Amino acid sequence: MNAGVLSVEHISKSFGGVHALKDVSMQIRAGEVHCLSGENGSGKSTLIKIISGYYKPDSGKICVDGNEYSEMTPSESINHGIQVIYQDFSLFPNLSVMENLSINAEVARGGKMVSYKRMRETAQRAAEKINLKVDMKAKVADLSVADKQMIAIARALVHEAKVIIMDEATASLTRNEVNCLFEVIHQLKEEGVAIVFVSHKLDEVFEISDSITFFRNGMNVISCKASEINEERFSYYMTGREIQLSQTKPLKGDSTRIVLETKNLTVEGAFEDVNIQLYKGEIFGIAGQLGSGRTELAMTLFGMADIKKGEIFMEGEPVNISSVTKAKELKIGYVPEDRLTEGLFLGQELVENVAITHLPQLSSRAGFYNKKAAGEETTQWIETLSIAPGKRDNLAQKLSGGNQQKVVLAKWLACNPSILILNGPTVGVDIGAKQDIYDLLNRYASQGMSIIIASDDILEIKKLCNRVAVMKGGRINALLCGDEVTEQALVEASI
Amino acid sequence: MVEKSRIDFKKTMNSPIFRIGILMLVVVILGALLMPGKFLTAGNFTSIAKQLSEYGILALAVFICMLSGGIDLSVVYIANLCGIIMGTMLSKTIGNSDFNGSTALMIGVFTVFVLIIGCACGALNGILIGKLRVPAMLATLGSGQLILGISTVITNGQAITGVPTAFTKLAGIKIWIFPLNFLVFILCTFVMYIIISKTSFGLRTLLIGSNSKAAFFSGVRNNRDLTKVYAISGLLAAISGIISTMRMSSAKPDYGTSYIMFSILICVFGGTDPNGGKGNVLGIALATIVLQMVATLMNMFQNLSTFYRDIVWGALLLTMLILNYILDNRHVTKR
Repeated sequence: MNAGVLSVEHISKSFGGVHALKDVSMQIRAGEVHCLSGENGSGKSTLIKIISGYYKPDSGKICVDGNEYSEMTPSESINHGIQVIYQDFSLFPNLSVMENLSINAEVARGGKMVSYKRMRETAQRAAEKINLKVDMKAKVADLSVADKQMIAIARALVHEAKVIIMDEATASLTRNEVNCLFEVIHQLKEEGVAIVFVSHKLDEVFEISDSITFFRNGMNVISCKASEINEERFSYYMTGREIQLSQTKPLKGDSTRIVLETKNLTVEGAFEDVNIQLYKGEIFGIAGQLGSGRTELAMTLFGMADIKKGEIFMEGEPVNISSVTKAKELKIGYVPEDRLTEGLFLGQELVENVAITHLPQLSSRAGFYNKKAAGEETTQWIETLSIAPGKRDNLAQKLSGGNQQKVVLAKWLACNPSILILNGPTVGVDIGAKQDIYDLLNRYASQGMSIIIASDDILEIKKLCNRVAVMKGGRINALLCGDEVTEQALVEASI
Repeated sequence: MVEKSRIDFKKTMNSPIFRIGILMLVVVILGALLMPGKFLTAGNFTSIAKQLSEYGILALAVFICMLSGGIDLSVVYIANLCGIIMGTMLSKTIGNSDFNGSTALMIGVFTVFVLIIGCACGALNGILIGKLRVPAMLATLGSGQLILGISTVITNGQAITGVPTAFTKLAGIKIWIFPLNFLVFILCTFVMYIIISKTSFGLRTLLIGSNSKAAFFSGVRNNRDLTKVYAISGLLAAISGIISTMRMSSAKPDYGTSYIMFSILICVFGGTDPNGGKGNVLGIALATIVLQMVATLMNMFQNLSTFYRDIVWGALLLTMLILNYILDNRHVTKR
């Protein structure tokens, strides 16, 4: 291995008395993929922001290319070839691909006039480096998440990058797209670029990284070679406790009671001829990649699409789920894919976030809202789901991803639904809270609630579901049951 | 326990209402010191109370829309249309007759009619915004222009004058030192307080303003609630139009256009988040009263030119807005 291109030594940083980082040291070598792992709030992002010059460390030093810094400015960081790709990519959605690729370089040039010719050349060069095949004139907003990811990487390469930091790069990619990304990473690696990779997804971490540094409560617990680590060790280092990665068999439910059934369900432009059955008390999986119709099917069952053809039956009776209100009347709940924009009122207290789904129960006949009853109910949910920090007047935005997801769950569980649909229930949720949510779902299902999980997380589907419909290109490609639900079968049916 | 009370105090300190309350106290003390025997008189308070009602009610109208994440720029035009219709109908029917049982009935019937018109104008805005997804600013700008046009056609562009005295005399009604239109303002404030803070509709409005998508995903019927919100705004505008016609015994299509900006400023001054999802009715009422007090106090200095008054005015508003901004953002940590 080559010498370290970037290392941090004894870095500490606190925000108003709270230690975000305590005496953290780490070394990254050229041509290696170094993974940062840790639960939300463990200090990964803070360290990245210190390396990129966004924050100043309280103590410690950063060494790049043999230069020592006690603090760095963003431009120093960039000049040393450090590039950060944030989770939201920081692209300009209203501009074209070409402009996005070249605008930083153009601005950095500092000239008064803009040359579109030069910009096109810069963009071309950047795209060639990773074989990016996207229409240069396309507007970034119209592209897929994967393409945006690639553009962000290409843009990082415009400045002779030596270290590329990818924060949750794979969070919204499908497995195919992840494979493409990994190819690019391998290629960059060969060229001697160091990659710092932040991810929650266990399988990806094992697949791509050469070494791993674990963070917990602002300290790096351990740095080691990826090959020295297995799944149990991984979750132990992440959480500091031995998590019972439940080996329980998925619940089978009561196959004599079909609570929901679709017959030839078709929504134009999304999916066609979908036939599924949901048993009482089971967790049914809808697997499939982004764009396979998985999300659309989940949303349709919650009354958010115009059904073109086919029928939905509940308990054998035909029903017309034409609106969200109708779905709620039929006791169907829906936990959306993106909790930040679709699930939560970030600036409001937990009480309001939970109360919104069942205001009529919390209000008098004349429409007066009973704040006290709502508050007591929320306090109860906070206890039941162990939401932390557990005060009902906390603002939703102050909670970590896992706890936010529990709030979204609480607001639907409070409606006492007979069918609960979850779309990507643990995206961006750390491993501890993930297990909590799995346990919860299993508990409610065993009490008779019927649950549908739409997800592209194959491990999650395998862990929870006894029966799975795998979607591909708007159709159900395979219906797997019991022992047929294996990782391999799920992958094969979805590609 | 001690810990808790300290935190609550901090919370109070940070609330916009507390800040406006302090400012009000300062203005009253300043007034008493600078204009002894003039500012702190019942007569002066009556005149303050009389002047603020019209735009105070308009501010409430803008407020509920702002709370839902939108805005209503058409309120003044709705108010004028309603005032014009009220005035015209009264002139044509009552004429010069005195106030008696039958004129009272007429006034009552017309009032209801005009309120319905205001509501309908507002509901139109609501449908444009909720159902057709037109941005609130553009929808209400357009409808405001349309309503201005209708008013201009009705009046031939002239002001309506000679509104029957049987009606305008009502403006003179006083309970203790409070004139009728101030009482109407207080009533509107109270009803709005109940609606916003105590009903589930009020909570839904707040949450739609906070995140309309999440509200939709929670099963809130955004369209229906937004239509209601703007209908209420239109209703309030109509009330404002009626009392304005009553007080001035005239109405015209483009009267008080500066009140639109003023209402928006009152809303923000009173602690309403221009992005929606945060705000308080009491703050609006207090902000209205404080601003009118300052205006009246400035008017008492005979030799203070109006030009300087505008400077004081603008500086005061900006100070308060900056203060609100800094204090509200102080505890928000960057994610």
